[in-house]
Amino acid sequence: MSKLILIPEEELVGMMVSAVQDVFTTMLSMQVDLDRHESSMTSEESVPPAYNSNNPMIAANVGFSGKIYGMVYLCMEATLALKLTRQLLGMGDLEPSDHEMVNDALGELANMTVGGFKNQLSHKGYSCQLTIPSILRGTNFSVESTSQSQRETFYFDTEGNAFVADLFIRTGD
Amino acid sequence: MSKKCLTVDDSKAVRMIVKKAFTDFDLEICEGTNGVEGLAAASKENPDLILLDITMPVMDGIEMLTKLKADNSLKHIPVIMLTAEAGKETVLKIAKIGIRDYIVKPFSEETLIEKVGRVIDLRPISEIQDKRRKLTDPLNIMLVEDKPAIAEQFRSGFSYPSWKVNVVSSTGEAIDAAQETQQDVVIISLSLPHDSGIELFRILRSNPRHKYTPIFALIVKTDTHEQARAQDTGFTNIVTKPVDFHELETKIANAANLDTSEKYFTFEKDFLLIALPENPSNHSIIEVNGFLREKITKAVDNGFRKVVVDVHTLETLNMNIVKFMLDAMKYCQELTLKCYVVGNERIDQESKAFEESKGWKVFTSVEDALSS
Repeated sequence: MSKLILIPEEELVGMMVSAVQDVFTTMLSMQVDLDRHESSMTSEESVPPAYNSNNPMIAANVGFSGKIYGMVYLCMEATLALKLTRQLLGMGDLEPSDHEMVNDALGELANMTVGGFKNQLSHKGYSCQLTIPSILRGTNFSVESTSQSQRETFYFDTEGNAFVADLFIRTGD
Repeated sequence: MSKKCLTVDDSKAVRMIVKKAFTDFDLEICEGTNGVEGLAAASKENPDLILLDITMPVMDGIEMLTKLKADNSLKHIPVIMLTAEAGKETVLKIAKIGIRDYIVKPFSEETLIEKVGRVIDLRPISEIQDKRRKLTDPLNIMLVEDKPAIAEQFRSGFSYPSWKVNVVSSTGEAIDAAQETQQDVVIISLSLPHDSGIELFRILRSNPRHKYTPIFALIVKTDTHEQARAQDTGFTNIVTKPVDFHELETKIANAANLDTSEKYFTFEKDFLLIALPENPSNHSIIEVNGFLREKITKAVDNGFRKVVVDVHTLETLNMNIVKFMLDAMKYCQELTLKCYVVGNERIDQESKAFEESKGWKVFTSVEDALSS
């Protein structure tokens, strides 16, 4: 499978893992480990959904553009999102129905994660800037790209809970 | 008066995290969700520091910073960037506009507190609650000035007899005096020979005894270069010559964290009286505003049902005074207190000229207001 960007896959994996771990350790004081990683091109057939669940899910999305383009979706079940929000804000009694607060917290976690990843890209000469976060809510949805891009899907575990960081990336033409 | 920090970030989560980080410190946090709100809040609140994100809707942090530095009334406010953006080009661009520090997200509370503490005087809230002195309590002020005429002005310039001004004329005398007696405030003339004023500041600051002592720089008003140098060196505040002692008293009271509320607030038998002085300056309005919510809340705690805002000594109204009075009325309404305005004929007429105040009923005396 040919790649669209010239950063070795190992380095890309290292960059994303370190960005995620930095956020979880610093802001949440939580351990997070990479379970597995999958690589694909979005032009290929049968691209699997990043995360299969019949439970309510949330995906926080932040994009980046400049010498390199892309976006990252942080996908997880709503229960994990609530747990992370409570941990981030020190609000143990936050209600599951407080979508606004959870959306905001998850958006900011995604912002910090993609920011950390993007800053590493900049050090390699791929300068770019971030977009503001957006949030998707639903069940059993998948994310696909309309144009050809490299897709790197990272399956993480944090203290027994799973979540996904789904990266779509390509260089500027 | 507490220090004030404005946090500008479109994420409510970040603003909450910042607020939580400073719970144990005497620091009031105000907020903005984008650059437009940030500029408005900076203008209204006159914060001691701004924590500023970059990526925000409506107006981003770079544009807000540029506009802030172009505004003469706001450019002195130190800014620390608090952002996920750490690209080299962005950092250089922002550094050129002018910032005090740069914190990259994710960030720990400790890093945030440490970096903010380098820019403004952060004091634990417990220290403040135990030791807050009044304006009329004794205060030791050391003036380091070698010109006798200026020294004499300071000896007689303050309104409070309990403020003792100790004048020394050299660095050596200043160090000895500071060792002998704890100074509450030090004012150093930067006209001292051989740049010894700056050197004296550094010597005092390196002594743990004077780490938190407010140290002001006394500089000629037109010498903007020296003022910038004093700011970069880290002086608590700047006093310009010729000296406006009323303004200096406010700066000293703020720096020494004195309770200045007695200038404006009196808890009478069953109501709170808020009296503005004749021709209040913007500093006075900001000062009295700083106590407003606290005092009105205390009035409720005391079981009072009424607040009287007495502006009968004013010669004229302006928007700052109107806004202050509207804030007082708003807090009273929130806490279901009745708020009365006492003024004079001119104030009554002028209040009709503002949309916000044209509905006010202005009484001619406190007695009339209370018996209405």
